[in-house]
Amino acid sequence: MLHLYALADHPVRLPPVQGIGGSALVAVEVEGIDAVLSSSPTTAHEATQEEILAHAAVVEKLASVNEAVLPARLSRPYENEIALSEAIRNRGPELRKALDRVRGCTEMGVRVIRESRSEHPDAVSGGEYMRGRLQEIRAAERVAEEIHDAVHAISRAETQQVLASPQLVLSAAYLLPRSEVDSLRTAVEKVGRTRPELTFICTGPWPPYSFALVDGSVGEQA
Amino acid sequence: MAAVQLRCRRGAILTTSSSPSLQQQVTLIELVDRVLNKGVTLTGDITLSVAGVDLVYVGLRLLLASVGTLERLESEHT
Repeated sequence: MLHLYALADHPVRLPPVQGIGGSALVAVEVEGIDAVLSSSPTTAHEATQEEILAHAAVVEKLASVNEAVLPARLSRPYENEIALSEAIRNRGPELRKALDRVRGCTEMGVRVIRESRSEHPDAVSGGEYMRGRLQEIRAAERVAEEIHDAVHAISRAETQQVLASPQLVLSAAYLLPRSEVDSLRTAVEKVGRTRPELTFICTGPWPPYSFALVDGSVGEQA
Repeated sequence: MAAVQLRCRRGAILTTSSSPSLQQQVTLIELVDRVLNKGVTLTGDITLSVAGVDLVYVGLRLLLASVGTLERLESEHT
């Protein structure tokens, strides 16, 4: 069984780190794309804390020494090299497009959190509840828009999720050139200062996990 | 992940709002979210469960263990 960490431009530079369970990293080339793998002793359908951290550590090191890396999700290991090569070959054009998208870029996460409070304590009717809910959604969308406007000039792509839960006003990820990380933090802080009732948190830089999908679901900016 | 985040936040995280631990907590949740839910999959969207524990506890254990574990992993993997 094979564990996949990431896909990268060939020839990938392998960092001097070990994979899950102390396994050695290897690169397998498929039509100009390198898959970074290690052998996996398990066929488990569950991830352990150690596996999560080891996977993340390998991907991060890969992203730090290569210009274009598509992080792989921690998923069930692949049966063998043939199965993996075939999967890559089948999606070659999409994967190359995704590699082009993330080349030279890194990902930053932004979360906007609202303090805990009881939900709509004054809402006595369904109608009032719905109006309150609608106001919340509109307010959250305004925050999302303000941040979008603030980072639009420096980000190449973004994903934004508004009100994934009542307190999580915004959960967003931005793909941007590595040199713009501080600019994003500054821009988000600036928006944050105008809204003291909310907590703004930037995380990263991350390898571009949120922009590695190749099914076209990622919102790209024109 | 939304439900997990909700449970995480109710796990007394927001009581320490804007302290360094909130930043740390969010970072670790984001890490787990990325590794398990984002990133490319080549054979369909298979979401792994996390070894019999609710994801939120993994996040909390990561937080509690973060400095030591990450340093240990760092030394083991370099």
